[in-house]
Amino acid sequence: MAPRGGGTVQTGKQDNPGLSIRFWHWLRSQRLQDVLTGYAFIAPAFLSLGVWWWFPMVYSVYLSLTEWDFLRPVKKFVGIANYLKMFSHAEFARVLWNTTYFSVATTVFSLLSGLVLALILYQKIRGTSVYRALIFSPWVTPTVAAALVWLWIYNRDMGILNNVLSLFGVPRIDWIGSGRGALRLWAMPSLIIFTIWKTMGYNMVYFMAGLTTIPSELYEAAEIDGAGTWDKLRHITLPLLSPMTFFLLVISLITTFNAFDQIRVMTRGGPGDATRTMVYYMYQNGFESFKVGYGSAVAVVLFVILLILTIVQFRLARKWVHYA
Amino acid sequence: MATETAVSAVRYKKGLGNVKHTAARALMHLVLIVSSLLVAFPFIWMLTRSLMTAEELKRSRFTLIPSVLQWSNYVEFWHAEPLFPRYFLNSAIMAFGVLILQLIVAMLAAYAFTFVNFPGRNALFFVAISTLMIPVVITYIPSYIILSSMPMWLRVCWSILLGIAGMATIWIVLRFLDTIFSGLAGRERPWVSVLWRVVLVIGVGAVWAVRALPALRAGAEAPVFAQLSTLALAFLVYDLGITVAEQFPPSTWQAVGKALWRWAWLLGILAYIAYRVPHWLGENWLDTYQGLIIPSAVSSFGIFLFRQGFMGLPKELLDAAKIDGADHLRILTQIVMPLSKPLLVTFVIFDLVQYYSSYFWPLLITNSPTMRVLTIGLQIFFIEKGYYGIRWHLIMAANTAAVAPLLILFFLGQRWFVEGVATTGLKG
Repeated sequence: MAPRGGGTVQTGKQDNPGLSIRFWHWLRSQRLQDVLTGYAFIAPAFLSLGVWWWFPMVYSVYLSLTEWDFLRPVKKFVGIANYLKMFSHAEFARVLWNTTYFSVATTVFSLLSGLVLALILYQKIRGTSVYRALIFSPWVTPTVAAALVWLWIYNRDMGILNNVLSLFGVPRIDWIGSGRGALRLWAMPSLIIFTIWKTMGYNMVYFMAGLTTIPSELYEAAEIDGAGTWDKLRHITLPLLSPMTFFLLVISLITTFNAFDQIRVMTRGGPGDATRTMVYYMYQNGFESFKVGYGSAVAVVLFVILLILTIVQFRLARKWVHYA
Repeated sequence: MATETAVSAVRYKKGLGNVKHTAARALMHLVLIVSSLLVAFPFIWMLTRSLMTAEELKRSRFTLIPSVLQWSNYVEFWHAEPLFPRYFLNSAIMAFGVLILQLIVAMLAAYAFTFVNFPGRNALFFVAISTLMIPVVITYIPSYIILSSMPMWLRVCWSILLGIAGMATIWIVLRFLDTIFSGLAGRERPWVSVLWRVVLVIGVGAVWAVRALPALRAGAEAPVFAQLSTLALAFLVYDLGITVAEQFPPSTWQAVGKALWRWAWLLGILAYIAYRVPHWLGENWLDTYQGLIIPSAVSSFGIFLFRQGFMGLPKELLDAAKIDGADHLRILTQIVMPLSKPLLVTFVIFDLVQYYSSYFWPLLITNSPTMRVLTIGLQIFFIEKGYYGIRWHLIMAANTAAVAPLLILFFLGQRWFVEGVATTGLKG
């Protein structure tokens, strides 16, 4: 960069330093430091996100259009054949129904029981922290370990559940097994009850956190207006708790759609296909029968369903969630 | 944030909490007692059954307390499956490995997204957060395929990241020891931090000279532990140098010397790591620790959580540090991290619980018995050594042992758990 005129260079020397000095200042400037540090600091995160999240997602879509068994050198491109096959299978309808059943029932009852317990615990009850710790504790146990204990609770011949029921003359039920006298009817409720047991405390603790944010002035004002406990619950507590309810609803939907551990340990999708959910269906196809393409197609459909459900939930939320 | 909740909890005198009828309160207590007993029942059942003999267990239908406590069950299950210590170790390696990586990756990113100005910051943040929408199972089949043949450039990238994580871990341990030793020294004493570091370097150096040096000298391909210990020793020497320099009053020469020393050592160590470690990691990561840990290296929830926490910190402190000439890494480690301790503890506990319990991913990618994590080990034990639930006393003993670490951690840190849920939940 040559100076445009001799005069300007002469006079500019005091306030307009030379190129190398300016370069040095630029090198030492906060701005450059910020830009470099910013990108350096997010680089590890974006490397991981790219390699283990976004690329796999795109790759899944590609794999779902192929037929492959992890071994053969070539992935055979089959277009949307996997999807057509999936949607024409009767078993896929069953899988969809199982997933919905499991997810909706678990979510509703887990949230409801969490809400009721949180409301009770918020009445300044003595020993709150003990109750809270006890009810939350299933959440910190590994699902597999807990499921093994529940496997025994549900056991047909030795399980405590049947032992208790037999006191009332109820015949022994094979809750989750596929053996003699197995009723496919009971397997899913058994799994759902286990999952409610596992997640109830988590919802309760979140609801309790939500309750602390409700300003007490509102209740005071309502009391002056002569509102009873039920009115306060209906018109203050529940509306002001709705952001937390919404948050828990979204979380619960995602986690129940992704549930795998308890199904694998307790029922392996059985008896028959009574507890085969989408994630388990993907596992069986992808990793037990090595149908990579079909398994990927199931995973993609799972993703799309979850995406649609979440968007719908956010849309509906405008109607019932009140942000203070 | 924690104080905020506490304040509103204190203020919450009236609220819904005015159910005064004795009958109503008794009913509420009843509901609570019944539900906590129901929730706790599987644990009680597990614990008491683990202390019974097989015969008593078969006979008793409702007995809660064993007639004689059979502590020997715990010895017996340990003998029945000699690999159990290995399962615990693998789970611990996985949980702590994931934890350290996630902490570093998430905190760096969250710091940049909160405090550093760079073009495209907000857009990139939303790109990162959008990952929360992806269910993890959709990534399993492709990740499995990627892991089975890791390309070289990825291995180099991960080696460097692992190197940084390793050095950061040693650095944090050293800082922690600093607080202990300065506490032991009583009041502020100069050179204490140098003194114990010299002792440490001499100690580690002696072990290294006896154990690792001969192996390094002997052949072209020294064992991994010898090379790793060399790297660790190099980092200790580097840290000693920096600590010595910090004993002198700040001056231009001190700053220049520190910078030279820092870049020479760190770049040297990283170059060596980038050159050697990709070979140790190998091409096929199935059935390895790196395969268990590295695909979980980033938690977009963690990034979100830390950003929320960081945004609540007082800006003035950071500005003051900037005026003092501190760079971003220094601000992060010496101001931001200590200030967000509650958030850190919460994240640590939640992450440990999640990855100690993880089952699906290890089930997919591990194969050999020595690589099993605890959850898989338990399930295999149930099938192979418990004969599908015939030897319940042993299964329950193993279960109790597996559950105990988390439950103990939880009951010790109960307050952190619940406060953590409160603080993370309010922002959610």
